Amino acid sequence: MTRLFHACPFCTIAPPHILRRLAEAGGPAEREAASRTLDMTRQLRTARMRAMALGAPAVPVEAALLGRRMSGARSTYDADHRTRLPGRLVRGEADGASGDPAVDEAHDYAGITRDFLRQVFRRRSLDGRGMALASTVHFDRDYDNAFWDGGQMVYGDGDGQVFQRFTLCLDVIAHEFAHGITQFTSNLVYFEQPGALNEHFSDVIGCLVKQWHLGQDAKDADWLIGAGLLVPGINGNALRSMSAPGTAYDDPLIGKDPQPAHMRDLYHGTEDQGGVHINSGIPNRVFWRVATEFGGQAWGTAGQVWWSAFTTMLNARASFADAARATIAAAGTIAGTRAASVVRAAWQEAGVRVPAGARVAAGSPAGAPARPAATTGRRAKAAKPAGGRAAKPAKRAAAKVAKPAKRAMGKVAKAAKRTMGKAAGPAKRSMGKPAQRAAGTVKTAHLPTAAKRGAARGGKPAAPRPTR
Amino acid sequence: MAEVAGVEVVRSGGFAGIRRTTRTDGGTLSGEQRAAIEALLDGPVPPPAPGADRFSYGVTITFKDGSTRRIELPETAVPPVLRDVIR
Ligand SMILES: [Zn+2]
Repeated sequence: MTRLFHACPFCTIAPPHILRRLAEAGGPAEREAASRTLDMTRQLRTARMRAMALGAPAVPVEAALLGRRMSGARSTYDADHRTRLPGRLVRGEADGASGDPAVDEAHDYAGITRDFLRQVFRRRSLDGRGMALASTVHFDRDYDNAFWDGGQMVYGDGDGQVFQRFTLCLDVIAHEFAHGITQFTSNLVYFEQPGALNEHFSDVIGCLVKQWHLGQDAKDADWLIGAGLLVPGINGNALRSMSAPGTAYDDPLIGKDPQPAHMRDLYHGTEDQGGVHINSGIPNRVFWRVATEFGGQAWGTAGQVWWSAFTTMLNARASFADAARATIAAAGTIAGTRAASVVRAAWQEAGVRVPAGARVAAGSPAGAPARPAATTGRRAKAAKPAGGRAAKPAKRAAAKVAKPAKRAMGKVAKAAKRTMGKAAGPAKRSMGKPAQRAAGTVKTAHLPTAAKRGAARGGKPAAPRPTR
Repeated sequence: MAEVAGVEVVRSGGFAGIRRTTRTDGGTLSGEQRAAIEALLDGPVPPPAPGADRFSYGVTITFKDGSTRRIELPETAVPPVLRDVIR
């Protein structure tokens, strides 16, 4: 297997000065192209963006080049208090501050999240291929929400009675961003336990981005989601607490934080898609427990374990027990058996039973839950970046897993490789050497994911455009 | 169909996951809104909203004869004419 990454988790794929120079090359044509693209249906739009990112000739050459070089170019829109998406383009990647706090927060925080993902998890934008990032602010009137619509991020201004504008918090923006990543990886069904895991992963990324941005260790962080979003006067300091689920707010106007921290309090009702924002409290607390037990920065070992499990090891219908098995196995692969025991204990403490059969040697394929073999290769690779003490056993274990997976990938991956190679042609030729290396790296790194997606989603109809 | 006496809406989900109940008196509904409610009750189950963090609505309609009907709606399936009622 070729060596894809070096071990330092803080090095960007392309040197920042090159990225900066390329970003400045972005002109109105590129922004216009992005705007046109967003007007199409979700499926068409995603395909178009991908084509753009790969340098296909469907868009002007400059745009294609920019899309290829500037991974995750941002476009931020204003809905002007209506519900039509994406709205009016107000700030492109290369533009300075607009002066509208909502626009600038959405734009800047999306940039921080994009940088975090590239530097810490080597993820190029949402889809792993540098997909353009669209955000819309001022959605609807007095809208008390932020959401991911399947293709972009959307933020309301809040009603001013309970909520302030949803762009205020970096973790809220990173949370929405992470829904995009989930869609392109595990694609966890947004209902009951898989839906709560989907929510949980978004909260984890939200917290990690905030802590990374603040340079905080796990023990110094507040572990709150949406701190400062409630207007002063509402009795609450955030919307959720990962360290103490159920304690974020308690106010006559909005009720009490309903999140459980243990399986005995699992919500079984039908509201909120079967409690996706309620039951996420259980895995949330598990992550807090693991991150604080590991110590240091939560985006280090704990983050790498969760990232590996949630982006490469879970299937769309995963339960809490599946997530437990996956994170225990990932911890064993990445950081050794002692780390795996910490993760196991944290899930057990939350009342999630991990069947005895799941106790396997670190990194052995049986440690992963039942899932397509094609993704195992990526898991092995994802395991590599964990630096420091744990790296050695992880490497050995990863190599063990990688072989059968490689064989199993077979036809799908090869087909994906062919398609991508073709599309990447023109952009590749026009790039400088470092960029070329970076592009090659990323493309190869994400092949198994692409293959998995193709296999799992073939023929899935495009989701309807949410216009409300 | 008997006349609508009232509509109770439980909004759940959204990023915050905060539950909110609102009630509308049947007498305040316009003819257009009544027709839209009937269409919702007779129509197919709407598809779930794509993406994540959208609101979910549990709508209970009480009729003047005392009977009730309940439907679940994602935010994306609320007809524009009912946006003041299902909110
Ligand atoms: Zn969410």
